[in-house]
Amino acid sequence: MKLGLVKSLKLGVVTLLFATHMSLSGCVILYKTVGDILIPFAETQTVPELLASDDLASACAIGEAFQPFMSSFGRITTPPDELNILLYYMGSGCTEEKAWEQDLRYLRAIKMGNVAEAQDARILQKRYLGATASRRYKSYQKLVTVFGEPGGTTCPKFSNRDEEFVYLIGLLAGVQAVINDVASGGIAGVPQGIAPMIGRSAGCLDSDVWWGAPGALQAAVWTMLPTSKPNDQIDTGKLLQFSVEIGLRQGVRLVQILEAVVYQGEGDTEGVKRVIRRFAHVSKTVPGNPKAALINAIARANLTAMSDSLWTEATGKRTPVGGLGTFWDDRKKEKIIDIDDLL
Amino acid sequence: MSVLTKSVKQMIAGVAIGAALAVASSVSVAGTPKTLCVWDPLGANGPIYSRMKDYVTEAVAWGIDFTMKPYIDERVAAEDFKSGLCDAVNVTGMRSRQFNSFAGTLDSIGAVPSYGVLEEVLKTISSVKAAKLMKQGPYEVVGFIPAGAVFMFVNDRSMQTVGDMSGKKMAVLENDPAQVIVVSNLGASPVASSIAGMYSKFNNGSVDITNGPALVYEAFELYKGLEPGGGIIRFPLLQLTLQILVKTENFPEGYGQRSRDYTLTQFDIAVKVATDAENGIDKKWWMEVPEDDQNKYSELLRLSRISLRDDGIYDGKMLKILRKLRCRAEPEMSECTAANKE
Repeated sequence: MKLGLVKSLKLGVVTLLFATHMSLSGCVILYKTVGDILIPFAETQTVPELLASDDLASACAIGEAFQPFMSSFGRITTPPDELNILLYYMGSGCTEEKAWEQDLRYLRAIKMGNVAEAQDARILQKRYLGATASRRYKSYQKLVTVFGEPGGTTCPKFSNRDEEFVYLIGLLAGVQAVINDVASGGIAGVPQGIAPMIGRSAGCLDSDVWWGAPGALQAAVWTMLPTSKPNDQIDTGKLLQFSVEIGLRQGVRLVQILEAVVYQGEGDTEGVKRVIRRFAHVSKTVPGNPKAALINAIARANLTAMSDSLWTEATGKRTPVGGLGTFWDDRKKEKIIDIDDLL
Repeated sequence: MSVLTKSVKQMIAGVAIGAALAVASSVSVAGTPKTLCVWDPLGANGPIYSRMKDYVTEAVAWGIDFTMKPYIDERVAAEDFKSGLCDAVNVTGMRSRQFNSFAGTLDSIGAVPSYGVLEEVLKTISSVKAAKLMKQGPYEVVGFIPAGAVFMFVNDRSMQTVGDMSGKKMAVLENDPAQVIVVSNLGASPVASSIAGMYSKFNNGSVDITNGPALVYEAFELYKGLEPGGGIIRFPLLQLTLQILVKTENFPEGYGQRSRDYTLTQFDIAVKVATDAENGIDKKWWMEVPEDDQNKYSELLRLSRISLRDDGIYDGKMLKILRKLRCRAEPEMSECTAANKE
C-alpha cells in the first residue's frame, strides 16, 4: 500500500515535471518565433513608419519602451542590435528634453539671483545629460557590435540603404554622447577617443546621399579636435557650409543641428542665431523630405531648445509661440510713417 | 553751541555721503555684469567650460553676474584679459605667470611630485594669510583647479633614463621658456609647438617625445604616436593647474578669498577626473621609473628650477614653499639637506 502510494507520487511528479518542461519548451519555441517575426517587422515596418512621422514624443516613448522589450528577445534569438542603434537614440531624446528644461530653469534662477535654485537645476541638468550620454553611447556601442569599431582603414560593407542610415545614426549618437557626457561632468564615462574615429568613419557614407550629414559630422569633429583631421588642407568651415547646403537642398535639416553645435562651441552666438533664422525660413519655404519627417522634427526640437536658451538668458522667457527664427533684439525694418504726412 | 551742532551735522553729512558713495561704488562693482573669458581647447562644448559654468553659478552667491565667453586659443584669452575685454579669465599656470609670477610658479617643473603634495600646496596658498601673494599689479589669482600631472610620452621605450633622451626631439609649449631649458638640460632638442601641435607632431613622428596630462591621451589619440614600441614615463614632469584671474578693481573686496575657498572645495573632483584618465590608459603603455632614475630626474629638474629662478622666470618664494611642503611629505629626500636649497 505504502509502496503503491510512493510509486504513484513518483509517477505524478515525473509527469508534472515532464508537462512543465514541455510547456516551457513550447513557450520558448513560441517566443523565439515571435521574436524572429517581430524584430524584422520592427526593422522593416515600424522604423520607416516612425521616420515618416514628425511626432517626436511618440519616437521618444517608443525608444524608451520598445528598446528593453525588443532586447529581451535577444535571450532566445539573435539580439536586435541594429534596431537598438535606433531605439537607444530615440530614447535619448526623452532625457535630453528634460535636460533642456533644466537649462532654462537654471538660466531663470541665475537671472533672479536664486543660487540654490540655479545649483539644483544644474545638478538635475547634469543628471539628465549623463542619462542622455549613456543612451547615446549604448547606441554607438551597438554600432560597434554590428559594423565593427569605426576609425580603421576600411569601411563596413553595407548590404542596403537601411544599414547605411542606421550607421549614420550610430555615428551621430557617438559624437553627441561625447558632447553630452562632457557637459554632464563625465557621468556616463564616454571615452572621448571615439570622436576622432567617428570623424574618419563618417567618410564611409556618401554625403550627397545622406543629406550632407556625414560631411557635417566630420566638420563638427574636426572643429573640436583639429588634430584628428586627415590632413591640414581640409577647410572645416567650407566643408560644413558645403554639407549644410546639401542637406537643405534635399529637405533634411539634420545638418543644421551640427552647424549650430559648431558655432555654439566657438561661442559664436550670432552664428547660432543665423542657423535658427535660416531653419525657420527654410522650414516655411522648402518642403521637407516626407520620408525623413522625424529627422526634421529632431532638428526643429534641437534648434528650438537653443533658441529657448538664448531667449531665456536675455528675457527670462523662452521663444514666443510662432517666434522661432526671431530674437528679442530684432529691430523692425519697416519705416514708421510720419503722422504729418497723413494729416 | 549752534556752530558745534552745525559742524557735527556737516561731519555726519560728510560721513553719510562718504558711506553712500562707498556703498554705491561697491554695488556698482558687484552689480555690473562681468565677462569671464573661458579658455577650453574644445570651446563651449569642452570640460573646462562646463566646470567654469559651475563656478559662475557659485559666483552669483557672491554678488557677481558673469557672462561666459569661450576661447579655443589660450593666448588670445590671455591677451583679451590683458587688454580689458575680459574682467576674468582662466588660463594654465604657465600662462598665468605673466600676471602673477608667484602663482604661475605653481606649475614649475618637477616641483609637485604627487596629488597629496598638491593638495597641501593649494590649501596653503589659498589661505587667508597668503591672500596678499595672490595680488600682483592690477591682477588677482582667485582660484586653482588641478588639471592633472603631466607625463612624458616617448615613441621608444628604450628612453628610460635621463641620459637616453640625448639627441631626441621633444615638443614643448611655445609660451613656456622653462620647458625649453629643461629639454636642453635633458640633452634633447626642443621643438616649439601649440597645444594641438605638440600632439600631432608626436603622432606623425616629427618629434620623439611630447608631454601632457593623461586627459589628452584619448582626445588626441596619442596611442598612434606610441605605437608600436613607445611608452608613458610614470614620473610627473609638473602639475598642470588652471588658474582663475580677475582684474582686482572690478570686483568687490573679499571676492578673491571667497572664490579661492570655493575652488579648494573642488579639489577632489578635479583630481578624480585626472586620475580616472590616468587609470583609463592601457597599462601596457606605462613605464615605471626605477627609484635611482627617479632621483636623477628629480635632481635634474631641481637644478633646472634653480637656474630658472636665477633667470627671473620662476618665483623664489613659491619655489621655497614647494620645497618645504615636499620635504614635509618626504623628509628623507636628498634635496631637504642639500646645500643649494630652493
